[in-house]
Amino acid sequence: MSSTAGSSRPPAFAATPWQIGDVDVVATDTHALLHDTLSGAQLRVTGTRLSRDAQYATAPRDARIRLARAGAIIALRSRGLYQLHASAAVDPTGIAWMFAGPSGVGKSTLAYALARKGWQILGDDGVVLEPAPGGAILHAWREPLQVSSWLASEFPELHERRQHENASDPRRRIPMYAPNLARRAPLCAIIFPRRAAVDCLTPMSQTMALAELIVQSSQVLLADRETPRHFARLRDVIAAVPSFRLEHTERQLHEIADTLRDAAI
Amino acid sequence: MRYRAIPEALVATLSDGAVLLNLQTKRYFSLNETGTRIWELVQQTADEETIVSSLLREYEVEEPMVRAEVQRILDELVEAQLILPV
Repeated sequence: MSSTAGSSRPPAFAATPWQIGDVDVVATDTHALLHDTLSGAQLRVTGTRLSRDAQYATAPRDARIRLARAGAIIALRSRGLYQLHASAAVDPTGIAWMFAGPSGVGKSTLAYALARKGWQILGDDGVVLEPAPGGAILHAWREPLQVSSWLASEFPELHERRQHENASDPRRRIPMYAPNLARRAPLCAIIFPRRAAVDCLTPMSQTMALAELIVQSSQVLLADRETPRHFARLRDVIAAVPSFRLEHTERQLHEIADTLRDAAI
Repeated sequence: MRYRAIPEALVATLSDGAVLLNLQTKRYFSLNETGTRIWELVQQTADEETIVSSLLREYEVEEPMVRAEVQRILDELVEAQLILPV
């Protein structure tokens, strides 16, 4: 079953504004216009082609990075590749486990805990999903792992990198470098973590999983003529790949590899 | 009363229900199996009475319970701006 519009009439895709961080995105039938709200600079994405406006060249470096990042996300989407707000690690057998959810649920921490066990990292705050027959392939999205310095009692090596702590970050995160990086791997399962008082891994309903995944990948559903196709592809991934809710305590910082191994059996 | 779905609504049906997305409000809505069937019946431009009688034929449940469930889900779909009374 593919996604369909709510009636026999075609969906109305007016130029609908969306946001990727500080970048406003207005999609039309022919292109997406990206506007950096802090600098005023703009970038136009037509298919996979990016074109800059006059202000782009003089915009601060941070603004150019924001626009380029958002532009890359939109351009990837036009090729059927979806950047998701998730972390992912590849186990010793070569399959990827993705952690999706809002900031603060433990995505980066769990990925880092797996990296310490020798798993390869695909991404910390983002990965790229490529739907494939019967499942999906995950591709790397390179950004340093960010681990809260509050976890130094669990991960003693954080003490050595205290000087890199981001003082303006409420979670006082420290950029950490995973020793083993992966470029791509088949997706084995999607985990939706949540901090809790008791550790518990339970299968999640497909509707709940799709609904939660949409929230972490809003740009995939930027309203244009391609939206029904992208929505259907996300649905196909959820229908093919098992999803789990992981309620976790700090104990999982040391046991997550075993927990996932048990889930795979 | 009859209802129609808005054109900006997308639906993805899964094994345990469906997820509806309103592209206008950028809000999503998940439906269980019964809710999904009600959505399908609304798509067929059925009115409330037709939806109730269809569900009574398909499920072994008491009419008051079906009627209350249909009303609740239709109200929620209206509230989510996914369907409109016509």
